[in-house]
Amino acid sequence: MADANDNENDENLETTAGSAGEPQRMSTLGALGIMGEDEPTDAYFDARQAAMSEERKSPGPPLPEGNALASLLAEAAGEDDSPTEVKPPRPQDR
Amino acid sequence: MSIVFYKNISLTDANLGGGTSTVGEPNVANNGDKIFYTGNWYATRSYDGGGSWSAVNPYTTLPKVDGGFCCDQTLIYERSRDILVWILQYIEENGRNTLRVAISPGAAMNNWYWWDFQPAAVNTNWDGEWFDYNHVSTSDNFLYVGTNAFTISTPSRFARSVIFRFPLDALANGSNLDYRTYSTTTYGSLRCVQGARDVMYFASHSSTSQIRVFKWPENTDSVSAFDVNVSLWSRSQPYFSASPDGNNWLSRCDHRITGGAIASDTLTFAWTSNKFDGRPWPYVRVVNIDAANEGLISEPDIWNQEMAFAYPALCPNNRGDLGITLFAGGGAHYPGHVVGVRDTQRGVWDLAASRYGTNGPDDGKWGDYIGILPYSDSGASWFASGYTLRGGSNRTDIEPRVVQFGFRS
Repeated sequence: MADANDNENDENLETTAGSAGEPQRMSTLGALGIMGEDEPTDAYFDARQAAMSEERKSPGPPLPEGNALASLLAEAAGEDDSPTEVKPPRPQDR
Repeated sequence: MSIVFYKNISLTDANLGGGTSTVGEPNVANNGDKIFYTGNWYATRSYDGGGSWSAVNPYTTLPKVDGGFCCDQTLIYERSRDILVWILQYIEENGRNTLRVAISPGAAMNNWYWWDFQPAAVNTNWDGEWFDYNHVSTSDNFLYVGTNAFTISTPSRFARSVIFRFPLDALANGSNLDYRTYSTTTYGSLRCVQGARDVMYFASHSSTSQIRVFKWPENTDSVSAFDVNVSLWSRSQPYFSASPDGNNWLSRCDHRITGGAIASDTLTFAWTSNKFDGRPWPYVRVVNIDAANEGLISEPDIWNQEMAFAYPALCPNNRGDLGITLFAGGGAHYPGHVVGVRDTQRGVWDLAASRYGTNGPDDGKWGDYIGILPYSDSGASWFASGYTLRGGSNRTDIEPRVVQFGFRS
């Protein structure tokens, strides 16, 4: 187990050590009678599909809106200001 | 430069054992002619370069933990230690869930040993949380697993983003595994680059005009960071792109960084922006950053007037060329799987579709990621994973795809 790290704000750049020990192996677990779960059914998969939200879980904390000044600075710094529009990708045979 | 497909394979239910989802999340890794492929909710392997496939049931191949196998499988083949890495996520139960890091050495792809990681066992402060949304990357001597942690409470809230760093030698030897973690509650969905050597880089958004890039050298236990201003983009919800049948295939799409790579000292990060500033459909934001001077180089976004682009993943090949895989669709096109290469001489993306679908998802669910890795030897090609809907609009009509591609100058 790792040491607790209770300082995870944006200024924290420290990492934390942990140990997971030796790996588990099928031969050991098989001897103990620990096996995989039952094979799921189509009805189970249908339920899993239905249970997934149309909205994904949050990608993180609320993301601030950027500002136009920073954006302009970025455009000035970037050396590639040519249009980047691509053509619709065409299928290609092998 | 033109894209060349060496393999462009459609996988069937017989290859997978069924269990497909429109939230497909496919990943692929190869070791020569041996190919391992995962997705929601299946796994399969081929020993003959994709000519034939044998289903590997992710529910029964390894022992059950917590509420059983969930999802979010990711793969990488690490050539220097000759190990296949398989990440599996298990369903939350009794206030926790498990990330499993499974290793199969050599070419067999069926001789697994593994370590399990539950949030509170990794850090006591993470009690009552569960891991979700995983990816995997390597540097010369370490494996990195990125994940988010959420609270068990209802509604479940974002708690932190975590990067695990594991020594490759211990993983390959199957010995005692000491590791380190970096975690942050301020930045979400940290994304590691593919192609790292002696420094791992990972990134997240600071705002819609700035990203924060983190550096973790192999020879230190500390992380440093720098900020890069980028051109404004839009994270507004919902993302929308209707396929010809009217189904919005981007209802689950958001702004997290899904692609990262380093090649020739250039860092590249990619994500999906909603429509913005003359770009009428969701599109792929791309930023190139000089790893040495930490400044923005260019922003070669992928967009056009007719269709949307989403869910990019990036990886350099073994010669330093930058490959990409993503989805394209909308307008006259049903969602299709696309691969491509950055032509640095001409300053353009060369893209080709492995296949377009015949339908959009009737429940609007798509994503949440696809994968790309270099071919396992020293060649210049990539393996990419994707999928389309063929012949119908629900999960049983999903056709996962295995693509090996390169380019011709």
